Amino acid sequence: MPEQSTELLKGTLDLLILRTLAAGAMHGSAIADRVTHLTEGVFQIKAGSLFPALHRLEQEGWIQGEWTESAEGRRVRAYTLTRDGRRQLGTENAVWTRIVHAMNCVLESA
Amino acid sequence: MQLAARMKRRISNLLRRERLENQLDEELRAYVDEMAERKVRDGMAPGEARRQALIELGGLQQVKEEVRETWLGHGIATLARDARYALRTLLRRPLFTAAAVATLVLGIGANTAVFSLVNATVLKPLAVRDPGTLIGCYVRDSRKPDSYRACSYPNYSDLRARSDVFSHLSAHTLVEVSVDAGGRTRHVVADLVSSDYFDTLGVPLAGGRAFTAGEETPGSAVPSAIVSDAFRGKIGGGTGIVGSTLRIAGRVFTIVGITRPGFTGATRLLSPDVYLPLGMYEAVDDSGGGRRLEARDTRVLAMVGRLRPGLTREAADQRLAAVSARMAALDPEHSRPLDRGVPSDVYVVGPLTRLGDSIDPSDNGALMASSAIVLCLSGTVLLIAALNVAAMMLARTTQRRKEIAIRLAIGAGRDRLIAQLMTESLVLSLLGGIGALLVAGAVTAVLQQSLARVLPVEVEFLFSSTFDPNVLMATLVFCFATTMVFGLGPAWQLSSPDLAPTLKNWAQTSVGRPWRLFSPPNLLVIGQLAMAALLLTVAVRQAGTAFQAARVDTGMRVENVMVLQVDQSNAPGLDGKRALQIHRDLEARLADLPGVVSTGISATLPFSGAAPSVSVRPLTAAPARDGGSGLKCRANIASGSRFERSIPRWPCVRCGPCGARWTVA
Repeated sequence: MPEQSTELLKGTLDLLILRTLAAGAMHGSAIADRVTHLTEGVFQIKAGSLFPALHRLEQEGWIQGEWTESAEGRRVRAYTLTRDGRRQLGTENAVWTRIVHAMNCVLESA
Repeated sequence: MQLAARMKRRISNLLRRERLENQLDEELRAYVDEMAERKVRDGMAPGEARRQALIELGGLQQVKEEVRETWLGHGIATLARDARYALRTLLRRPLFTAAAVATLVLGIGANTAVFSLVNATVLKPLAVRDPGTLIGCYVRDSRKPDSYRACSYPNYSDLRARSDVFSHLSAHTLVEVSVDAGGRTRHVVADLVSSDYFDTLGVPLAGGRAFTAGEETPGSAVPSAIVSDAFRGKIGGGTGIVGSTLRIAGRVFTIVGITRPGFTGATRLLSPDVYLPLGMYEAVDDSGGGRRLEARDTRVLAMVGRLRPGLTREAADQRLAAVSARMAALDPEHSRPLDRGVPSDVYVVGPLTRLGDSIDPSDNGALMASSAIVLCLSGTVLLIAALNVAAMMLARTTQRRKEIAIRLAIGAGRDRLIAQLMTESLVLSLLGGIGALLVAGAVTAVLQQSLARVLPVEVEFLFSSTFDPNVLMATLVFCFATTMVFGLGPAWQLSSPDLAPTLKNWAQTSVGRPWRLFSPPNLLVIGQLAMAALLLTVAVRQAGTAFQAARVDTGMRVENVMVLQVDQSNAPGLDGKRALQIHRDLEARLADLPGVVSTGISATLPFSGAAPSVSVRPLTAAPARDGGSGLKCRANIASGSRFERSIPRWPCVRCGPCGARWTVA
């Protein structure tokens, strides 16, 4: 069921981005790199998913883009978490924890 | 996010679209640059590195489109862009566009015109307080199935006293009167109303006062009048018109009130211009042959009321059944009970009839049915128009194949293409809709003028308002429905990724293979022809009936007959003798004119629909056998050589306007 798995991925991607930005302002490729690094290469976010997700979160008012200079001296658009975004991160975190807990309950019951 | 905040962002996105686009451009460019630089660092050649980075991105345009879709207000921006593109496309093919729009104007216009009539007749609520709880009270004649009668004043008065059934009950009857005001005489519709009429409808007057109980009392003949706001405009008075005078039926009336703008009373389709108290009945209604309102057999009133709060119609009918029996017992002469104890007059409540002055609640059904039929017929016209445009759109498919193929090739999704093609269709039908509103306005104006020419009174029709919100909404719905019918099929075909084979199939298979008779284009033509044939048949039948009716031999020869209308009802100090003398003098002078062969006088014109009704009873019959009234019939009063030729001695007749009885010698 490919549609369901993309649906799940979309929600997961939002949580991943929000959590990553909780550490501080970051631009697109830096966020992708950080997620890859933290997940030990399991999640590799493609530009085709990353940029729509960033813009969607910005439209929701959870993150805010600002033009700055990257460490390599490149002009980039870095995103920071807003106050609403921090609250959203809390909510999604709680939901995710419940899902993981529920999945574990089922998987460990056998 | 809060709704207000989303709205704010949506607006800001729409206003600063350019900036958003530039930022996205720059952001993605920086990303590609960075990725390419990494590959160069890993030892790739700069050109190749850039190419690889772009490939990994997965199509710059696709990513951009996906990002755009997350922007709030993107749908509106796309719609606006599609609409602009559609307008350009349509303007590039002016002949196609003109033909399609003209077809749609006719189709939608016919429906808008018919709908505005149906809207005024059955849909638009009355301009009264809480129109839903307004009810009609009807007098069922239990001796005949489904037969209703008007109510008499004494019976109405008894019913009104029943506060256990009605919280309000008012009565009224429409009459034609001549009104002298503002320097000319107008023949208009007046409503004779009970004193609580305006109170029942819950609409206070714009100025002045309502009628008093004293003015309502039969025979009181207090000359007070309330004029409608429209009539006030016609005779050119301001709000200070209250207290000034009008001449109606030879009497001077004082204007005591003005109705609110838009108030039409309990009636629809046409609005009375003047309201008079019921006490004026004998003075202004000359069709009754001298009947008196206070008599129980003068049945002329329609009743409008509101039930006591909390009372259902069924409960009201039960109480009214008991009331009917009691009232019949009080008045044995006019309301003879039947064998099984059922009184001849049974009072029932029901929804107010759509035209408001009807005494028969089943009139509603006929009105609804005829509304549905005309809406269906005009709907068929719209369907034919839509199918016609669909066929035109399909024919254009070949021309647009290249444009669509290019757009598909550069990565436009099929849903985007369909949305864009549908926008084009919508623009087309909205253009048609605008034209339709203008055409419908003109058509209803022509219809009203032709109606006004044959009607004996000056009336204000209420279906003229093309700019009624209901009508506008309906036109918009017609536009959308039409778009669906003619746009969706061609858009689906046109956006098909394997368009060329599809087209080839049609071209090949519709010739020579009989089972392909039912291919989409053929079905369109078959459907159109079938519906056109249906409409044509209906139209020819209708026209045939009308022509036949016009050609019916009535025995009268109407070629070269000229009509001169004289209204003497407001001439001051004119008694019956003098009025008759004036008519005769006039006739004699007309007869002397060169070229005049013969002359005659009659109260109304034959078949004008305005003949007074009289009650006829054989002299030998015992009085009041059938419940009081004699046989009702419509009569005309006439004199002169025209009638003499067919009926040599016309015995005793009555002159309508002056009331004199005279014999033609």
